[in-house]
Amino acid sequence: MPEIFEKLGLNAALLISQIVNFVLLVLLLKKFAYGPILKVLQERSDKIEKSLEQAKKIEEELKNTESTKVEEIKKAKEEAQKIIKESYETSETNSQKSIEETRRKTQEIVQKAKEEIQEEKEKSVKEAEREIGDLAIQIAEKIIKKNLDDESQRKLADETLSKIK
Amino acid sequence: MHISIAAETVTHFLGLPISNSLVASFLTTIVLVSISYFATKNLKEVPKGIQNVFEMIIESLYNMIQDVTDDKKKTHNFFPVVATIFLFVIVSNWMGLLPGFATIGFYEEVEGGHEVLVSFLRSANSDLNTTIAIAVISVMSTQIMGIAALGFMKYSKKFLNFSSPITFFIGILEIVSEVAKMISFSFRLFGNIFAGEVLLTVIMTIAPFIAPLPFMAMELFVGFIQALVFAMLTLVFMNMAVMPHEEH
Repeated sequence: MPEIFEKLGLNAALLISQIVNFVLLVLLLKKFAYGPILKVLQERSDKIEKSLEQAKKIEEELKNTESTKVEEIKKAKEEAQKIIKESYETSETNSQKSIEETRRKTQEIVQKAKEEIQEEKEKSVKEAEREIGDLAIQIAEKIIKKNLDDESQRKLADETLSKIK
Repeated sequence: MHISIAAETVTHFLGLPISNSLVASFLTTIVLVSISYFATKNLKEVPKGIQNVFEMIIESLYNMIQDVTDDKKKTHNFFPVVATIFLFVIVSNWMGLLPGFATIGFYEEVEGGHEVLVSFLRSANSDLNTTIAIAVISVMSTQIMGIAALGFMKYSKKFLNFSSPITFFIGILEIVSEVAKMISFSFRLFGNIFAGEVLLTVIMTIAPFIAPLPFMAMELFVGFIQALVFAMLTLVFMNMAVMPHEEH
């Protein structure tokens, strides 16, 4: 038996050194290769998974926002339309009103002016009548003083007065 | 031309013989450790160059194990041993094909009176000591995985079970099969690589140029296949060991 071992080159010391060498290699590779690399790989796959999930979420959110946006725009448009219509109507009635008001005021002013003119006219006519009357009397007095006596004077004056009245 | 099944002793260190295949094993270890050291010295989020290549190798090994175990925890436990077996075997097999292996050395007189070349380097797996060492590691770690997963008492029932004569006999068969595993592991790898070395030596003696190239290519392939077979078998045995075996 030992002869076979020797022929095959088996040697306890060599075998043990090979085993030790291999165990050492396992430990060293575990420290330098497997540990760090598997950690990095794990981290990377975690990260990718996370970002994929996030991307999905963002996409969904974007879709939501899009629909909200469209709705919002539609609403805003409707509102704007309404406001424009309202303001148009208001301005229409306002302008109608103001025109009427102006017209009314103008008429009033015109009326007033007419009345005033009328009054003034009447007043001035009355004044003129009176002045003319006085003047006539004075002239008549001057003329008649010479020719008439008191009696006929009296008569004439009454006559004239009654005419005037 | 001199072919020896046994690895030649190059020197002695503290009374221990140092064979040329042991030197090659050390060299493989140094190469692997330094590559992984430089590849992971400053790991970056976005891999580049050597880190990228190394990550790819590690990841594909990891995925291969994950495919077999289908369990993250198991994969985590099996990974170091299985991956190291694969890397060690493939690197030492391919390194054995480099020029300088089995060619540079010194002449030593043997009993017959004639001199033979003792090379400083010899493909690590063309020495039974190396392959047996890996086989022992493989089988031992399989037992450790089994005990860790099932508990010592439950796991040992696989080998020693007195509940019935049949189970007792099966237990003995299981013990034999564990030993057979070691032998088949080590001799398969040794046989393949040693045969390759012999083949290349013979071809190179007959026709030193061009003719060895196809054989070199074949040896590259064999080196890869043997590494894969060794790692895969270890993985499968480990996976079987941690499965709770049915009660009888």
